[in-house]
Amino acid sequence: MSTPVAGFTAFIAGLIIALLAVIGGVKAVAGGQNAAAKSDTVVSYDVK
Amino acid sequence: MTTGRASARLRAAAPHLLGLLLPLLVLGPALGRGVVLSYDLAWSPDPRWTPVALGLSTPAPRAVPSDAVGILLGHVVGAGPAQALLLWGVLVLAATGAVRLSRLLRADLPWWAACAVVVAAVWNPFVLERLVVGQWTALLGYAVVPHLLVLARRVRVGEARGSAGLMAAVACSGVGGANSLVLAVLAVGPVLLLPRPAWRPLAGVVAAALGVAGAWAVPALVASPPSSAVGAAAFAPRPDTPLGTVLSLVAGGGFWNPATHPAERGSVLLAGVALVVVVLSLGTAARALARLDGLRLLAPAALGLALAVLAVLDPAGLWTGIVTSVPGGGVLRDAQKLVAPLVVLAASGVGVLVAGLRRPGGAAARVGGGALATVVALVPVLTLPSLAWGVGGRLTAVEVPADLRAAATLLSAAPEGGVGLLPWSQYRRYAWNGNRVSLSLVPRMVDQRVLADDALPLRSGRVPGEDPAAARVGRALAAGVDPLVALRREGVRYVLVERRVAPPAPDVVPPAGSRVLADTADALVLDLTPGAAPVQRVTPVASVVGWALTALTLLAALGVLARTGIRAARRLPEEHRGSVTRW
Repeated sequence: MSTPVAGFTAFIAGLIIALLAVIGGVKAVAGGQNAAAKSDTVVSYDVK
Repeated sequence: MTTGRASARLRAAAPHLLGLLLPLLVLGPALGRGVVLSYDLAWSPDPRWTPVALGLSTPAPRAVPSDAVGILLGHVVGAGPAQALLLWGVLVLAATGAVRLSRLLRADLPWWAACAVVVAAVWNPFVLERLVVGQWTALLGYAVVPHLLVLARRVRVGEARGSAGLMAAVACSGVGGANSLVLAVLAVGPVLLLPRPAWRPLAGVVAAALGVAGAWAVPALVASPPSSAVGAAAFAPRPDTPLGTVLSLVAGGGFWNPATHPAERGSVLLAGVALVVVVLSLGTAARALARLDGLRLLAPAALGLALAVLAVLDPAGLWTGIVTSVPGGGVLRDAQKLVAPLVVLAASGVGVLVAGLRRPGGAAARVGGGALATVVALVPVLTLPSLAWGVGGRLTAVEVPADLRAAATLLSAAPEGGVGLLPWSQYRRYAWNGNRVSLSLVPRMVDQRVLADDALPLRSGRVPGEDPAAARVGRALAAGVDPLVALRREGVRYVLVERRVAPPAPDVVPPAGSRVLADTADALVLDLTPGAAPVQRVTPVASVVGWALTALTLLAALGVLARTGIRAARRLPEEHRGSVTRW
């Protein structure tokens, strides 16, 4: 594999690995989305 | 072909490839079958020339001409693919622009540094927060900023033949409406004004901006709807990190709506690391610009940040006064978008920064500069992982129920009479959209004037809308008047009650003399006055004049761009024979 191809592949692989690693951590601390749901009497624009 | 030349071509292609692929990783499920509905992103699955798309539904048109662009594209490729194409294309445009600007900062930018620029341009809080809230037009503005900075500089330093290309680019930037045009003007204006005004190109750019703005600006100025001071305060930037509002803005976040803020921005560590890289990148970019001649290219970023901070501080009500009292000031109400040039500059500066870290013989290179450069290049991703895959699924394409689409088609084909929309609320949680918050789809699906609540419900209260008829209905409902009676008083002939939504649909009993046109799981459609004569739809003169201005400006701009493209294509075989194409 030529150097640029190897470099680009390594870069993409690094991106994906980094993502997967950190997503796990953030999911652990982030609350579930759309927690409020069908029972809303008003749907505010500034809620998840 | 020699191995060396093939290798050079691969290196040159790497940022292109990443610029095409990374937006796919960002959007993920948003590119699936159906349409994405998220906050302001309400996209009809059936492209239709509705009053909303034409800017006839409210005194100050909102989605003009951006919705028209989506509809035009939708007629060609289908509504869902059109939306996907626009979202993806905007991010690709941002990536190409940032690399273009970074090559201005450093002409010999290595391919891997250009890849870092792509990452920083596509992967940042500005992109995330605007994607979640569905404002692709603000992202279009963000994406055109670097291209316009480069073009404006060319005009200033005499590299361009005239300013027709710049004028055309500004005009095309205006297809996103006020959001994108404001950012285009912010990018170009200071560059043409400083240190001494270049009057001729400046006049051309102003003419292009005014022309393309016609479709929304002319009706808005004629109607002059009141702008609420409550809105000015509600839309001021807000911290999305523990570092405070100003540093949140510098780091590319600070959008006013906390529902868009990603969880990881709440971490001092992650937000701090992201901020440090942004500040270093900005410093690097500023140094490169100082060497180049172009400190004036810093002006849009500085001015944008200053205005956003002014919106936060609002000294003596100055910002509120500008937004509510100056004609057209309302387009500045959501001031966080003005940091777009700063975000662009930081993304472009990342390239120069990592290139410096890996410079052979440099101080950083001796202490593991390569590894450090890689980490810095990946910081945007590491500190904002939730942007991946449709912002962790918050942006997911869904199929709009067939019965709701059929109801919209039925009403669009019915004699003109106006449609009252219930539940009386602008925003919905559709069960079939995963209960995500979005605008009601109906005004964008039905080719009739739709009377709907246009007030903005916030946790802190309601920001009043602009439609007096809607305000009267809202007051009547608050006083306990039956919804059908309140709507009928405003002259609507039809009522569409959306079901399987929050807030829940009111219990509507078809009154005597009315006719049920559809009664399905997702929609109840009533004709309150069957057999009544169709109402004549009136198109205000201001809208006709405005659209004519916009259309003529865009046609002229496309003509200029086509001519430039043809000339460039003719020159290409001679200039690039044997050379490697680069961004």
